[in-house]
Amino acid sequence: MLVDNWGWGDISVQGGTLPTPRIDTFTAQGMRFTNFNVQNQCTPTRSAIMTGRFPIRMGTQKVAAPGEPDGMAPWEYTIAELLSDAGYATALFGKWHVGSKVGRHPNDQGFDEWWGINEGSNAAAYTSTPQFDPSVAEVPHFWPGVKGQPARTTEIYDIPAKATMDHRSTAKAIDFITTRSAEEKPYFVYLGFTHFHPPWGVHPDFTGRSKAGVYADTKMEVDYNIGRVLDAIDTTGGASNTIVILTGDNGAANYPSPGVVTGEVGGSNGPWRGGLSTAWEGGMRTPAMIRWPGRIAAGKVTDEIVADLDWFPTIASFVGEQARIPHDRPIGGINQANFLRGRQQKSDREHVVTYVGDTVFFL
Amino acid sequence: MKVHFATAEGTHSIVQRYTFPQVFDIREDVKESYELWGNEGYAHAWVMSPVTKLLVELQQSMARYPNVRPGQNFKGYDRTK
Repeated sequence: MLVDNWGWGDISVQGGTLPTPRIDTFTAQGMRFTNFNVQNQCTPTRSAIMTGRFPIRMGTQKVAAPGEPDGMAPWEYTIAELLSDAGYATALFGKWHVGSKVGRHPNDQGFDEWWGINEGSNAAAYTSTPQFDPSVAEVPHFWPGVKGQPARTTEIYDIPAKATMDHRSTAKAIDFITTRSAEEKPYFVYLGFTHFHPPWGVHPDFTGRSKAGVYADTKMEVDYNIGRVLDAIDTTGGASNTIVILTGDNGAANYPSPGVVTGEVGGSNGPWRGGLSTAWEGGMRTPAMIRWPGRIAAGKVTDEIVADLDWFPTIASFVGEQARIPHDRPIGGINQANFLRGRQQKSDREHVVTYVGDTVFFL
Repeated sequence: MKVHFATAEGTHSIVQRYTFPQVFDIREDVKESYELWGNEGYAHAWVMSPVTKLLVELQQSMARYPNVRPGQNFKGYDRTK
């Protein structure tokens, strides 16, 4: 489960003042990372998770503006392809944002099926701008797709549609989990929420619920949807045999942005400086946790360095499919399986290096 | 320790590049507010030794495996060359 644009301090166990009870329970059941490093924008982090490769190596080192060449080459070998080759049913629901064109969609990159959006979450607002001209810019739509066929567009993705999108993505994920479990088919689901990304709006059940504004309402809905997924896994009896990972793509954007009114309405990056699109820690650290009852110790909190790149080799190792990791290309991810399983005290990662666009920003 | 070669203050701000890299101790200085290289009489310049080594290794690897360009229809590295 990947939450969009939330900050390190947005969960109550890391200082958030609005309770996130379902996330709190998740952390108590598994391992939480306080030094989990991502890239500073959506697309780079999402591509790093998919392949374990540095975004700069894949041409995904920044969010492409609409119309720019974008996305991972089909040659890239994603975690969905690896798990699919290993016999898993694979699905993506929600936000993708690592390839907007047919040929670079989730169903072209290892997912048996997907439903969601091909661009950034902000595309929901395009048609609400008074200047919008559909003769020069595409009207954003939802895309369902299945492996082996080009994805097609269905209904329009606009601000009202975005408000209920996470609820729908979660329902589709739950349906997939329930069905595959009944079939006793191993599965991999990637659930990409569009909360907490502008344009702002929540499912009607959460409008005004926090009495603290739309960001807090959003947080309540995110926590609720995460809980729905965990309940579905528990209900199907698969908890002990299901690895669940919750993380984010970059920091929150709620910090002073000199000279610009950003339209951001909330978010906390905890004690860290900066946020989204900066290379300060507030942009680079995101909440992250993993649950695998009986295999990963419950209630452990670590400040060891772990990165988005590491999920690919770590998951491959967890499911005994390390041999499928390609050797014909550099993989920047580090297999953290022994660290996560408690077989060693330290992470094998000693540094992170981050490019923003084509420029190395920090190490 | 953290070494910045460039920073941006916001999502829509300009990128700043530095004459000398900015060095911070992010374990003690979570706000990255006290730059060590310049403020401590250049005493922390040594930090560049491991940083430079890692970046040179990365650049050498990128020379061997050129980065895929955005949108490129890349089909694999020809290792016969």
